[in-house]
Amino acid sequence: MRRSPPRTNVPPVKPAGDELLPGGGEAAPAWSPPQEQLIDIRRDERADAVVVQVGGAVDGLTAPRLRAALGGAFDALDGRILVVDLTGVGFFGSAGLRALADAADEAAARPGFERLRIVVDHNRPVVRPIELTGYDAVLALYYDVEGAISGTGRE
Amino acid sequence: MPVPGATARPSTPSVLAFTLPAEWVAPSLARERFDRWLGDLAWPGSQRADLVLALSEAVSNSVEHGYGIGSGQLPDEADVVEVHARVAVGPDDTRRVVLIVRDLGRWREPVAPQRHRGHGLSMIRAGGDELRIDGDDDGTTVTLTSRPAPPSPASGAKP
Repeated sequence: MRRSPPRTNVPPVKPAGDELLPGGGEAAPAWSPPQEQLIDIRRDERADAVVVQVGGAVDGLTAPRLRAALGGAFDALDGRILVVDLTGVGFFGSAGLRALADAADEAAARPGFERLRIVVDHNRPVVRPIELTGYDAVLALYYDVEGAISGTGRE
Repeated sequence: MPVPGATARPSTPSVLAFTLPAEWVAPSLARERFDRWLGDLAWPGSQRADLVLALSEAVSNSVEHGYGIGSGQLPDEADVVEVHARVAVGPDDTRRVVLIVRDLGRWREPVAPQRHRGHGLSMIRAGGDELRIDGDDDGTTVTLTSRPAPPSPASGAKP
């Protein structure tokens, strides 16, 4: 019996077919987690900064949520700097890179030209796609949140 | 030379194959399975992340460009993405993963990088040593051969 948790904005996912694992193997998952579980975004309001903490996967499906969260954070900045904490991200694809780069453009275009600060520490799933596409040269990357807020400890 | 501390489950099949509906959640489902299979094979960690990234980008390319499925849109029954991965053992017992992602959509020209777009192909290419893309109006097949990995740590067992 297929489990179907209620979803309001994600199209139903059919179980995958043709699972060809010799020796039986395991059954295909009967459902997939809704978008809300694939990515986790929280906003930490501090006196001098708004920290958007991201966990989980940032791909084509979930990147719009990151975009929306960054847009909301921009609106609520009120003179503070915006820090994006990606240290909890397990997967980061081209859609995530696009969301980040677009947000960086927006930050640079705002009054004050304050750069979008991105915390990646040594998180390979995030650092690797950023480096291999050359975006480490244009994004303001930091090892940790405190370093990002103080503007020191730059990668 | 077996990788210290790593043990491949001897029952891990050397072929992983599945078909997914061309939906925007497909890359996530594909990643999960492929990553687990690589883990069961005790594949080197650095390669593993790169291969999963490449797979995810290839699957999302099939969904978004091969079939042109928009966000929240349901695919037709026939709009599927096929993933096939196997382990190829070289003459020196080193292993490579050969990953194939196939769709039956239309051939689409890879997007040249512009204004933050078109980086998916770079991510696929960086996932391994060899990339081949074959496409026509009946579909596109992406074949990626990974970098070499040490022989299987499972004692005596060839994948």
